[in-house]
Amino acid sequence: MNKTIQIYYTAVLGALGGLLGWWVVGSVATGAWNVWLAYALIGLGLGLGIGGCVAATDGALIKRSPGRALRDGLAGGAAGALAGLAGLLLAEIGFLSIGGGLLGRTLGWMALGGLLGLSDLLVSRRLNRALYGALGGLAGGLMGGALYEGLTQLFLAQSDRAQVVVGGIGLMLLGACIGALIPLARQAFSRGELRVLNGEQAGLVREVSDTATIGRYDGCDLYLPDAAVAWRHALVRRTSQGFAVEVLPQSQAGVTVGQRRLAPGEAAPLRGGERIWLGETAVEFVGRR
Amino acid sequence: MRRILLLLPLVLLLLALVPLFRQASPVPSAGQSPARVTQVDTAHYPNVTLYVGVTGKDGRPVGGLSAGDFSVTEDGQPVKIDDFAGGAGPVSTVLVIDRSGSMDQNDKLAGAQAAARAFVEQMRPGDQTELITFNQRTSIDERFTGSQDDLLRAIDDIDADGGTALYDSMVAGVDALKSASGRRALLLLTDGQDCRGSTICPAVYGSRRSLDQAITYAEQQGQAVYVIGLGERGGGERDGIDESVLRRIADATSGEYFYAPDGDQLADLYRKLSAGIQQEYMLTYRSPRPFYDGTRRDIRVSVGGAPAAAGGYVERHLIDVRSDPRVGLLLLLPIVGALVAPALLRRRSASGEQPPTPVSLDSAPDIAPALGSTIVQPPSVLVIAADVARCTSCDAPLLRAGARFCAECGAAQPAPQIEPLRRIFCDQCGHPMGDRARFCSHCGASTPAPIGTFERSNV
Repeated sequence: MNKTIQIYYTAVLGALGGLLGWWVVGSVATGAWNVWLAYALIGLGLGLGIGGCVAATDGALIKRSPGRALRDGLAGGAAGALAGLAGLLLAEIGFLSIGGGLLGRTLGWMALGGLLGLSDLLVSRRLNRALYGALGGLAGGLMGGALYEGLTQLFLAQSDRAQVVVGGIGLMLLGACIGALIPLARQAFSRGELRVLNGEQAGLVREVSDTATIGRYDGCDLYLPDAAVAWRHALVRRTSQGFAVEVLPQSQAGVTVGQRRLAPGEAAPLRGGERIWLGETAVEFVGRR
Repeated sequence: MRRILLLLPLVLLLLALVPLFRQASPVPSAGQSPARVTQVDTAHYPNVTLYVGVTGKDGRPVGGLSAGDFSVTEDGQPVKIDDFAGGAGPVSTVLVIDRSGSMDQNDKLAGAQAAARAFVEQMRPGDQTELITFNQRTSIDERFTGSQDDLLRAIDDIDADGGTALYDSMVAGVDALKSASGRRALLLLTDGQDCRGSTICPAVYGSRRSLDQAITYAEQQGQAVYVIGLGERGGGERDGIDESVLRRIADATSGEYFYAPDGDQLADLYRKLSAGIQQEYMLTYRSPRPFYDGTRRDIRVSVGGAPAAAGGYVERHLIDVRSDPRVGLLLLLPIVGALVAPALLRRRSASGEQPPTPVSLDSAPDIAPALGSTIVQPPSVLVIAADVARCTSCDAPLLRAGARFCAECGAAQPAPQIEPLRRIFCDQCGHPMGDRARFCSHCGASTPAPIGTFERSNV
């Protein structure tokens, strides 16, 4: 599965998250509540929906492991709920400060998207990955907010039912934009990526922002369902000198990098274009400047 | 740089769209309208309450009007006035008074105190007033109270001394009124210029906030400011009030500016202001577009067919979240479609044509279990035999293909020869074939040898 398809799926799941958030939260009559209390709940629901669905994409559609999708979705949903709560309150403050309109709405949604991207820090605990995600979330919020405002202006004088539909579509678009731009930003800003050349996951591309684990365990960043690959086989790490691959102690078979064989516990620097053999699977490391 | 370039088109597109969506600014102030929208209260949205002052040709407030004399539109749509009162109801007022050293000259402080006393004496039951004074510091001399005695005592205790932090005092006044309900009035009196950015007094005696910050804050809170300039007109390097600044505060916040040359005229001005606020009309209507969509609404109020006065408000909600299961199911359909579409497309393309075989890496490395440092058998793999380029001078392998200099001896290397791409054709039907195809996509015949140059080697 190439990166474009991965980003496409994340966007679709982001839209699903936005729709689910809208569906659940919208069934509560928050219109009569105090605006801050209402927005705390709305942010929580939207963050849970978008964060959970975006986090579950990997497990559901790439690793095709329902258990992994559920675990990632729950963790991402919990982090997203916290980020959504803070993000929407921040968004409303920005919106009111600016006096509404396109700028107020886009800046508000940027705050929500940025915090949703940053919330990955709570799950992955990788700073660079979370920061790139936050940048993507900001861009996604900007784009989604502009689209939402465009829809609002387009259907300004329409009926009450039209307003309900506009709200749902607006949040779907917002979820899709945030869902697409978080992985896109990670891809654009990370300096290296791993490409699987053969086997069941042939074509899969995984960026390396800080570290990336490779193994047969579906919680690894690069999941290789290959019987000859250990549960947690290797780790690719970004260092100040460049990227390096480290064979994890669990791996019995070791790793072959280019023409060099690495035993468990050994590490070797990686150069762009170099191939890493794990079991029967070949992975190409692509370094970027 | 490439990454910035990736985001640049998106940012430019959005910037280009900004003017399309920019909200229409409210119509400029209705110059000759006898009516004036002094406050729009949306605390109970979609019910909107307007406070409207009406003045006659003599400049005095006009009383005795009824709901039928008013016509109101929101975004061009006429609205029905549900509730009407000939009087503003309880008023919350903040009196902000300058007590800088210059107020001690020409009896200005005495005039300001007399004016404040006149205002307090006109308070009605239910009215609340707060007294804030300022020099380089802002202090709340009396918090909101309906007790005239307490307020009069606080007014008598005002002493003049120090610098002028005008903008900070304005922010303090807006802050005080932020949580007040009903009609809110802020009266700001000064006889000078803020020491911030001034050459007349040291900057340390000025405000911490700038003029723009103070105005923005008042605008955000929807608070109009009545500004009263007292004494000599100055500005720039001249002492006295800077009328351009005071007018700007009043105009930007939809308030009003008044000038009083000396303290004697202040009391009369404050009485008129108080009477004007108390005689305003309160009109409540339900928004014809009761949506929580965070958009700006423009209001027009006219009295007896006279030119309309303009007002407006921004609906406070960033988003309206109301769902409907039927709409939800409808919106779910495109998502399900988007999820299955790639799989359907893949299936269709797979049934139409034999998929190209990936690079021949199907022979995996023969890696023996390694324990500690014991590696028994080097793996045998199929690799693309990359011809290792070597130095033309010392024969050392070059670090990368196409290197211009040798890393060992530094000798310059000839420019790499780029081989023209070979076209490959099927032996059976002559149809052109893909670079690494193992079967002809036209007739299905297999090629006897893999395409490309492969060799088996020990690594």
